Amino acid sequence: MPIRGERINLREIRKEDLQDILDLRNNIDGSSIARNVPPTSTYEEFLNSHNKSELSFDREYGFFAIETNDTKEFVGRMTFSYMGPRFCADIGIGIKESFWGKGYGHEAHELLLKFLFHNMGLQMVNWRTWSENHGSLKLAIKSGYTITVRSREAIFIDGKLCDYIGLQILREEYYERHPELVDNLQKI
Amino acid sequence: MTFVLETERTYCNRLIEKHIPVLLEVWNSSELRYMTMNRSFRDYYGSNSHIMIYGERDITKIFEIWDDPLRARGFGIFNKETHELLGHVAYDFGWDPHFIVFNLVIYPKNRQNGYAKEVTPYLIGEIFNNLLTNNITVFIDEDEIIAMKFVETLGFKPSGVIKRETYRGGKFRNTHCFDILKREWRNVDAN
Repeated sequence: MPIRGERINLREIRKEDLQDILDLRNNIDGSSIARNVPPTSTYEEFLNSHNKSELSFDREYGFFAIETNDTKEFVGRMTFSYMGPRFCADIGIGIKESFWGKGYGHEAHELLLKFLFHNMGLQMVNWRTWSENHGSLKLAIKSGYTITVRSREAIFIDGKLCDYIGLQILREEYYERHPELVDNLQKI
Repeated sequence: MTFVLETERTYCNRLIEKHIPVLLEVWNSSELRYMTMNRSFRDYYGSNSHIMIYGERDITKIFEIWDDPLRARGFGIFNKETHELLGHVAYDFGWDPHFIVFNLVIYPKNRQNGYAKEVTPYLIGEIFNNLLTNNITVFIDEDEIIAMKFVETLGFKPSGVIKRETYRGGKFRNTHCFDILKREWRNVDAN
């Protein structure tokens, strides 16, 4: 059963998603990877990687497709990684350009945060971006993150050195924003 | 014999399998329990706070990362005369080579001898002079006040506090971040 939202679901990656994920990866403007990798990934590479994936009970890493509830259209992809067991995780997101500015990123983000805090019991979630990625920063702040680290002139993107920005949302901050949910984990 | 990286009393060299027993003994000592030494083998965020006692496999994995020329480097710091392992230094440039996360640890029994003061400015100078780096960032546990003051004397500026980076000793622990830019770095002789 996918993680269900009002307009979208977060579900497993399927073979038919690979071309869309590839397009996200090769779109320099939309790349959330921000490591300045050349936009030269191929469908075959993604297919190979997809075919190699095996059934796993490893909870350190999650990779979801975001799709619309009604039309089942691919909206983007969402990941969590670097999970310290039941402690913290990093989030990553990429949205197809045709869905930008419509609140899908925020909704997907809220779904994943609920999964991580309420189902997985994490203590905090981290978000990493850079100072000129205004869309990413806006989405993070809207989702309740606060900026905790700013490393100056650290990431070279689009012709200039930008600040690295680290953001965090703590468990209790998430629950304060969601009074409809009860935190049953004992406070540490 | 001379080394690529050497100071008056120390030199840096690769850590190899024969150093594992020493590292296990030191890294598992209670004095290093709260050190942010894990920084050098995790990306910018994330921690290994669930590891209470390092094992041989943990250290082997760290060696692998320190051997990855596209992501990070790590060396032992040795005494020139006795070849004793004094500490380690590691730097991670996995996201962008302009941005280095720098981590230096002098092991407890070698402290109070001025090794950190001798080695840190030298290595920072080497990084700025030989790599593309524009920003060097360090992470320091909230209780390491002396280390924070020390990096500030080198010109580092506070760049943030990562909240609850680890959970140790019955409480969440914050990590303090400091950074310095290439243009802010005085030449090594001035330090």
